[in-house]
Amino acid sequence: MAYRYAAGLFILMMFTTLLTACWDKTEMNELALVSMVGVDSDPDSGKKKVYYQIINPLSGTSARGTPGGEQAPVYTYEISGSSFGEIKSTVYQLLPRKLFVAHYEVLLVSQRVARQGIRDIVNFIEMQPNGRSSVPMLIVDGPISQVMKTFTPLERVPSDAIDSRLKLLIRNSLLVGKHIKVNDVIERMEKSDTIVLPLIAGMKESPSSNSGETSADIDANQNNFIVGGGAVFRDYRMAGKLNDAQLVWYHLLNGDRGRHVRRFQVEGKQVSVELRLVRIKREVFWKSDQPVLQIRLDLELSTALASEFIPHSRNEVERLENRLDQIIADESLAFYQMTRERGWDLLRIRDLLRKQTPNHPDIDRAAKNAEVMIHVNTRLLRTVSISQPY
Amino acid sequence: MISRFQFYLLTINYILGTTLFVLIQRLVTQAGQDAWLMPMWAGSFGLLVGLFWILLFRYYPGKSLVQIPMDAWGRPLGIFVAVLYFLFFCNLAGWVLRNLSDFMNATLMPETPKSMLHVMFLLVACYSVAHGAETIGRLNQVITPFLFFPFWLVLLLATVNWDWERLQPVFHSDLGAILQYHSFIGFPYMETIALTMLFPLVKQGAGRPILLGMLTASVSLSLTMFMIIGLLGVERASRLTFPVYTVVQEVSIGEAIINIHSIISVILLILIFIKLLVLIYGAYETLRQVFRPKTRWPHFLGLTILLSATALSIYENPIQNGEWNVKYTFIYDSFFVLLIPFLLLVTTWAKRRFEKRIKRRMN
Repeated sequence: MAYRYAAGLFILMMFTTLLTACWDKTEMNELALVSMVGVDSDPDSGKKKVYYQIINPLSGTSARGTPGGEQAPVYTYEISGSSFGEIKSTVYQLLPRKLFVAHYEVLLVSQRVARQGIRDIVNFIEMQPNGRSSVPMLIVDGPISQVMKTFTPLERVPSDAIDSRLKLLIRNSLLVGKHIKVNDVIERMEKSDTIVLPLIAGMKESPSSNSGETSADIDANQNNFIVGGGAVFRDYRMAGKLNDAQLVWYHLLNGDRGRHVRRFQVEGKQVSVELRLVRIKREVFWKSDQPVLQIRLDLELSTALASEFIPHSRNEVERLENRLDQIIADESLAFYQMTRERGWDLLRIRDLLRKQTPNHPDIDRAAKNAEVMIHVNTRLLRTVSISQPY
Repeated sequence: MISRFQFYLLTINYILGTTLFVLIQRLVTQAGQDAWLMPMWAGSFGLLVGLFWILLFRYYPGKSLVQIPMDAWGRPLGIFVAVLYFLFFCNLAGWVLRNLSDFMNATLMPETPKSMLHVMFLLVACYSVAHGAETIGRLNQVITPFLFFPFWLVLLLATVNWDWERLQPVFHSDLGAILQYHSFIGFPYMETIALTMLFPLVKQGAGRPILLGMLTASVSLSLTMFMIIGLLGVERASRLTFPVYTVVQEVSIGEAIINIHSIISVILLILIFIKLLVLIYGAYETLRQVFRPKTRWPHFLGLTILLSATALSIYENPIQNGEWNVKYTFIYDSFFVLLIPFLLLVTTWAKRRFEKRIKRRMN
């Protein structure tokens, strides 16, 4: 019996020593928490350059007012190597803590890398057990180092600033869509589809590298970057750009539901109307072996921000609605024609055909020759708090 | 003795055990957006195999898988077959352990040595098995709700990323490819033969619970596949090593619910542990029933050493494991699961006929 107890005790002792996961123990203060990753490559040598923006644990309320000025909220490390894998090792030539990428919030890719192809990058992210693919990916218009080394006002950590701007843009505009994450990119590219990712650009040639200076400056546009425009991707390569006006139609026709305000010219008057997509229906029917894509958009209008013109009567409302139906349909069609000329399938017609007629012999050609019809139905549902402008 | 319900739950968890993270990627690769159909057909084949075993066990009430050959073919040949089964169980247990440590190394614990995980698991499993089948049955019954609810809750939380379009076009994948994938029948369905070691211990017969368990497991697998495809899309689910884990990894709801993938890891660990329990029970019971040892612990210690070594050396890397799965699993499992029981059945029938004739002549 004593023998059994001894054996039991021995096993228990073993458990207690081994269960502490000694091998994978990491303390928070041993980690370099990455908040944002930037990827660039040197066009001459072909070397990859990675920027890690690492959160400074000492910054924040506790460190304010410390002697010697304010702590920077983040530090940007720049490491280059011939592959991303190598960088994982060489990073420690600069970095005194264990690189922890699992919680990063934003991925930035420079435009020149995007034009060469991002297959490498998405593979590397997707391969790593702790790499998350559910982070938004943005393309940097201009030098990436500048964006990676810009302090942002209000939101002290730049990745938070970008992340919350994207969320706000998704909700309050049609300039950014929901599908901008790395995993969306992979999925779309694997289907030989297209995707549009937001562009980001620095505002100033040489932003201040002192966070204290930045936070003390009243001009928030001075040291900042701006999210605007879109980069069109096909087959893991950036194929071109869309401007803000085109992005609106792109997101609208792809079913994004941000509330977007735009000024229209109606009967000689300018009206700023807020639109929101309520329902979208995309149907394909075949007309003598030619696919016809019919898109029906139901939009909700609001004149709550129309300071120029307020409709008074039912008749006026109807005229406004009809006119807007016409304008939106025309502009959307014009947008489609533009994408078709450039050979971008931004309405994802190919994908739709693949689902409807998976056995079609030549889907690519059918998608290119598809006829597109757009019907828009707008309804004015929200009005202003005054009945007449002064 | 364990109850029917306990045995039913044990069957489900045994089948789901390693399948959830070894096979899903391969199934999606094979059948695309219709991969959720695969568990249905493989499960129905599994049911047929189960019926076949039940037929054999009917002739030998109260006997376990390794006692039957001794009864049918005499002790020397019976012992030989029993040893074969013992090795088969050890092999499966080695696989299960190695799948587990591969998963842990690739996700949560990259630095922890594989052997550490193996030995710890084995010690706990041997301890549970030493307490007998009732303990295994009860443990599993107690723990199942803690597996079922969190798993589906986490998957439901993941539905923020759901897209119906990923499942289209429905029923358009190559039926041939779906039916060709025979290794799916081998692993996990044919491996349930280890559960037949518990057959004599189930009150009121184990036939119905094992079949129902297979059916339920197939439905849950199918549902899980359906969820995975709807959440990840075929393109990614067919490339990622652990799609279930990735699905949960990418859940982020607001600022609060992010990084809940450790829940999935723990669920998978426990599921694997249950599978391991059954296999170790099978291996140990084989030794006990065939050689009738007086003491238990040396055998458990031996099993721990043997299995931790098996787990380390069973394959060098998951790539080999994948290839083995695709090419040989079905054939390898068929030998133990179809051929031997079939021969047993034939000899049993022949013997019964023969005995009847002798009886008639005697009369």
